[in-house]
Amino acid sequence: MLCFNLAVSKADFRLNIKAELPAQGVTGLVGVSGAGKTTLLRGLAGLEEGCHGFVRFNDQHWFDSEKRLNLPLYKRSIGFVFQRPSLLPHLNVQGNLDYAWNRVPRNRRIVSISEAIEWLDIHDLLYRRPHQLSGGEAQRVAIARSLCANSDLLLMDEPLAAVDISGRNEILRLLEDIKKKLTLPILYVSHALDEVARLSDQLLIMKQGRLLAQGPVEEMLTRFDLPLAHAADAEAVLDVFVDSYDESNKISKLSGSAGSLYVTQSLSPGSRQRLRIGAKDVSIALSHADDSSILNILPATIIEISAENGGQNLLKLQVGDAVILARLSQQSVNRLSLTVGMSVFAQIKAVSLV
Amino acid sequence: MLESEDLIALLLTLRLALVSTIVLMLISLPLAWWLSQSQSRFKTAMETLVALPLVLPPTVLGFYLLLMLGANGPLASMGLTGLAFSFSGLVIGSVIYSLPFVVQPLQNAFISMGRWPIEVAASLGAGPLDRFFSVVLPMARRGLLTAATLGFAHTLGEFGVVLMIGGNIPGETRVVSVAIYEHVEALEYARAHMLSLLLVLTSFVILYAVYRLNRSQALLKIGAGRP
Repeated sequence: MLCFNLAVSKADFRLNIKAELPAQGVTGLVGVSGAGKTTLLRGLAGLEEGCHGFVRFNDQHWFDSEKRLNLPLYKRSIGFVFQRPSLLPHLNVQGNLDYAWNRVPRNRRIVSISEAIEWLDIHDLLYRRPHQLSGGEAQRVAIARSLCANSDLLLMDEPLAAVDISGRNEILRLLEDIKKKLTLPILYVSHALDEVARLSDQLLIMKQGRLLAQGPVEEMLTRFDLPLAHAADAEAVLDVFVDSYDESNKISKLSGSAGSLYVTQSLSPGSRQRLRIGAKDVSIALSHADDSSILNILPATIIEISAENGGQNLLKLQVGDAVILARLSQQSVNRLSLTVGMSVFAQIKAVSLV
Repeated sequence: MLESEDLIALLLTLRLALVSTIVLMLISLPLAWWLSQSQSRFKTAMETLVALPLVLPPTVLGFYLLLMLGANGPLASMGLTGLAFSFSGLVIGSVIYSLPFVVQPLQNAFISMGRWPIEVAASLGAGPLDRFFSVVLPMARRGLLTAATLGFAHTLGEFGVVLMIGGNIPGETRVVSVAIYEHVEALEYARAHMLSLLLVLTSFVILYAVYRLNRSQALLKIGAGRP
């Protein structure tokens, strides 16, 4: 478990945050630019000067300003993936991986170089120099290198910020797979909602240097008192289990806390998947439309309605044990006389599989 | 052609430049690293001290060195006698005289590298000394080469300090610049010419090589668009 209480004062900014993170899984750290995400990450790594408070990881004390204790980064067993690709320019890709690997004590070597190479799909890049790599390739190598370091904690500071769209999607896909193979906790900073929705188990939301909220990703994405639900690309996530795949109709049946859902994609039965449902992809009907082409129509209860700017309304719907969002026009809300507590049908026009 | 005593002066000069460069690098690497990283209040004073030989007449430097190294100087009272008018004395003088030419390119190379390679290496488990040898030195290799070459070339052409603390002992302290002066005094222009020309050519070749190397690597760096 990572436990910290950090305060840093800068010229125009003050960080003051206290939190505890579980010892495994991905924690997304979100907030607008200038919220202090990078400063916090650097503070945890011991790279930020003038910190007050403490940082503890499991039973190790990394930092304690009262006891004048400040373990340098190289003794903290932290892997760090920086925003800009940061490969050592005098070494090739293999050299960069070896650099990390050679500094890991034998008894702590869990992830091997060959596994890291495979997981990040960088086999063809091994003999390239850093300046011969694209932004996405360089960042894949940087992530592989941080895995080779076999640290106890992985800090990732907007690793996809300097990567183009196609590289970004590929890395996200790889990260989702890697996440399932690793046991170490990851703190992942991003201001892109879809990134954290895809990767995180829980979220830490920061605002102006302070902790706004912390909790499971499903809850943080859909709470109306938090900014994420009001974002233009607001979405809910559901963790589901693949029941079966119907070969003739090319359709997979998924089950989870929201009940049964169908996707037109071949998935292996038994596997776990994360579904993302965008607020703009959900519409409401008062009766179950049997003549609709929409695949997923689920009974739902309206639990919250919030008027937004531009004649839009955001609805929070209880679907089984899950919560999803729907964004409707004011006119639709009026026409259907939607109120809190009503039983309706949520028509899910599209789901994104992670 | 070169007469034997001129050849001796030439070899002595090269030996002096080589030994001084080695000593200079050993002193300047940690010093420049400290100057590039430190936020100590003594930093500015140290930088000024290192830069002093740039502006002082070499005779001033030589004069104080002579007092320091001489038979009645503080070093002699510490048991270090016989430094003045010796090769070792020349090395000490050259090192101080050429210090800014070595420290400044190194310091610039370290600063322009930025903090990130050190932070990256630390996150990969490398301690300070490890980082210095595995990241800082290889990344600053151009600066290292420039510094060593400038130190070498500058020592080759030194005159004032040598004359003050070294004198003119053949095979011991009589370097090329002093030999040229001697030849001119004795109106042996042909011999002065030969040595002068050699010094010009040597310096040109060394500096040309450095600029050439820096240029090709700088282009490579820009072309790659790296931070």
